[in-house]
Amino acid sequence: MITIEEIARGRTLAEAQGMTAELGRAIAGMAEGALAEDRLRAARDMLEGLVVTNPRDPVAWALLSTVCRRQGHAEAARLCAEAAVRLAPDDPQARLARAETQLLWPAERAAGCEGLRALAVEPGGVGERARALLAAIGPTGTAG
Amino acid sequence: MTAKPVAAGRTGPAIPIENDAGPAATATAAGAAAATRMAEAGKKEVAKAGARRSGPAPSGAARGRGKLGKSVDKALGKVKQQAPAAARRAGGAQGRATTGATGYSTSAAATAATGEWAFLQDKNLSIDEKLFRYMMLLQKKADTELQQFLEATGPGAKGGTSSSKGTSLFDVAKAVIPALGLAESLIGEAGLKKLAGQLAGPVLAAAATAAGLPALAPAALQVGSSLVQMAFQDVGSRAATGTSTAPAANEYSKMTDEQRTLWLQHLLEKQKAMFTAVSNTLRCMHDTQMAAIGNIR
Repeated sequence: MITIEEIARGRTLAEAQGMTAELGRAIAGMAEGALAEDRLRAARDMLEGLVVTNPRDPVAWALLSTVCRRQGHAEAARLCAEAAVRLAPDDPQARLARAETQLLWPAERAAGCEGLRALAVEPGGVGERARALLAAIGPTGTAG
Repeated sequence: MTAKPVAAGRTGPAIPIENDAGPAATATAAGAAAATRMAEAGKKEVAKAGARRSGPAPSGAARGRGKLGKSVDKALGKVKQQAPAAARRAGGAQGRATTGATGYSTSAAATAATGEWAFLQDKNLSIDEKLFRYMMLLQKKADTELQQFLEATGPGAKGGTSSSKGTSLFDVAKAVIPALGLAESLIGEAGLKKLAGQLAGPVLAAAATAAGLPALAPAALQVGSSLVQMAFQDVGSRAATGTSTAPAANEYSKMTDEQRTLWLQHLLEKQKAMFTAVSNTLRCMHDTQMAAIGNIR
């Protein structure tokens, strides 16, 4: 069992309990499925457990940010998105999560739009969502 | 629990584990990005599965569960397929992530101590089966450790009165946020209070670790969201800034064994909620598969 001192030194529950990255990915995949099914409570339970088990997993933080945002918890969503970006600064998914939460704050909306413009060139779902958000916001970035 | 048959017939290919590079395995920015891309691909699969649901309405609960199980299964399947490529990308990456390590256990470390973790290396087991066995083993160990703790402490053991005075969840939130690069003035005092109400103590503790301040984690563990109101009563007692990590970090040295155990239990409760949710999903998938088999008969 892990101790308080080990936690303070940065050891994770996942390391102490033998949870592998493979299991972490599987749980994140299930949480993503729950999120897609709009079962936000279940998704949040899974993702909060996952970040508690391994705070260094950027995927879990980015997904938890999405769940918090959809639940209307803007501050929590922002914190989680920042944690994801800090862990994986170059990851498009984490940057998208942060840009989306930035849009919730009037003072940071411009930065959020800037982030979305940078992500609009990304291939796949991230780029598509960034482009769709930019189109919805409009050229001035004041819509919504 | 009857979720075991979930993996029946789903042996699948061998799944390389990202951390199998041994003790030197570290998270890289590209590796993290690859993991996220995998998750994104899984999400797309789920979305596709959701789009297919636009057809005729399901005729029964079993059918509804089937679609849910299918979408989750698809997402997991996609993750499985992309895992080897992601592992290769992670291995070839150059830039290192901020924290240096993935935070997950290497399977080599898991199997080295005892043979009971050997199933994590079994290439013939599906991820569902591994997850199920992992949860079972973890539960068994937790029960054993709890029993040992109760026997060790026993009745009349030294008291465990609270000594969490001086550090509030609010203090921790204020310390974590500047470390994450957020401007405190952006969300203000009210925003910080909201944040403490929205996230439980264990999650804030995890955020402290993610921010590179694991020494703050014990302080965050001391109070949960249910104690937020109480915690805010001593907001003025300390000027909490990003530099206040030292006093907060030293607080855990004053804890009694019972207090340490209670706070760790608070941490483990979050994990237990995760396993409950995962178990429910696995059971749902199992019911779906059994319903399909029943229909064939």
